Amino acid sequence: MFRQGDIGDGVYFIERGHAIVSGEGALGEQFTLAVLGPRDYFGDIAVLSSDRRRSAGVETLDECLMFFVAQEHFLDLRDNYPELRQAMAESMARTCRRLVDRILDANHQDARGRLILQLGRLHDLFQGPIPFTQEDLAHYVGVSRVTINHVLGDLADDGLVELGRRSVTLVDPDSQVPR
Amino acid sequence: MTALLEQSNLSDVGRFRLVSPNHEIFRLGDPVDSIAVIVKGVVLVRSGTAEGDGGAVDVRARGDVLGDSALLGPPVLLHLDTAVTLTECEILQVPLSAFEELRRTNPALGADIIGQLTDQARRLSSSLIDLLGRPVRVRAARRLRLLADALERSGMAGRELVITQRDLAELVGTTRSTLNSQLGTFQDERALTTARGRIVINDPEVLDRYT
Repeated sequence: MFRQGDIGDGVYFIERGHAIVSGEGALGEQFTLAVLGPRDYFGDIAVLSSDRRRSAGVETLDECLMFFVAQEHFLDLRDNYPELRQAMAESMARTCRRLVDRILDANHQDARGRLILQLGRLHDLFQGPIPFTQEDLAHYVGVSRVTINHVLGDLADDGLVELGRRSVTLVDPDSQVPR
Repeated sequence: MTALLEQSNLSDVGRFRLVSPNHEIFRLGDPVDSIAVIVKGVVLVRSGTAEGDGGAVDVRARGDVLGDSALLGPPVLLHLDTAVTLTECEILQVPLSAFEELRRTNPALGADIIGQLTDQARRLSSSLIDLLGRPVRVRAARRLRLLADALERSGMAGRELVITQRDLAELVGTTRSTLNSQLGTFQDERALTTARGRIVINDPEVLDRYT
């Protein structure tokens, strides 16, 4: 539908089907921020804030039927209908809450959980062995080298990863935690 | 970004308050009886989860609203966040009933509130994307830059921020020890100076090299 950074021109309401909201990492890899379905809408952040750029990308998962409201009409609705104004504020406040919850979840996962999550993404990106040193991984995951060394050792002992000199390979990527 | 402060009718029904650094404006679980707009200074927001554990997730500055748990719509009556000042602050506190009445009768105020929440959503969304996809040194540089910009909005560039390493580590999404070594690097580059529970960002442009 659009990519992170595109200029927003309106809001999409999903009547049927599903879409994923995704962010883009430093290496261009995509990761899922939310999954949307019927009666959800998206695209409102770029339309309602002073910054017109899309804050994240959205892609359809299956066949969708959507209803598009161009920016000027969406702003007309905001300005002329008090009930819609109230609903838009409540909906945006809920969006903020969901984002806060995701941030807290991501922050409270232990190093092992975080590493497994990132290894899964990197595996998808490189389609196989991840050409990272332990130091690269420590930077990427945001934990110390000592911790990465420890956790990778545990994962190798559990048979979940194979460690090369300058690479890490997920043994059975499909059996890892959902990402 | 300061649209709410230009709403003169808010200051008619509200009360201006000066608060010192490290002061809790409200606490997670407190009843929501007012909405506050920051006139001057920088405020840290710590959010809780349903399980009760939480952490520092957002930084607010001049023109931003505090107490937005009330905006989720009825029947939320309790604060879902703790707001603590990182500098001396001036806030405009508006009783919730007066605020709701104004919001109903003043479309411009209603639109400004939506704009405010949208800016917040954009900030949180970019934090989440950073957290999931950016290395810790980039995240640390960006969060510190956010704090520097927050000071700048009140004309307080270079002023001391009263913030614990624990809160800062949570904002960045890392451990205290990793944060410490990263702060050491920034300090060597003369971007900032740290003391126990305090930080001064001397040269935000140095941080931009890491983002």
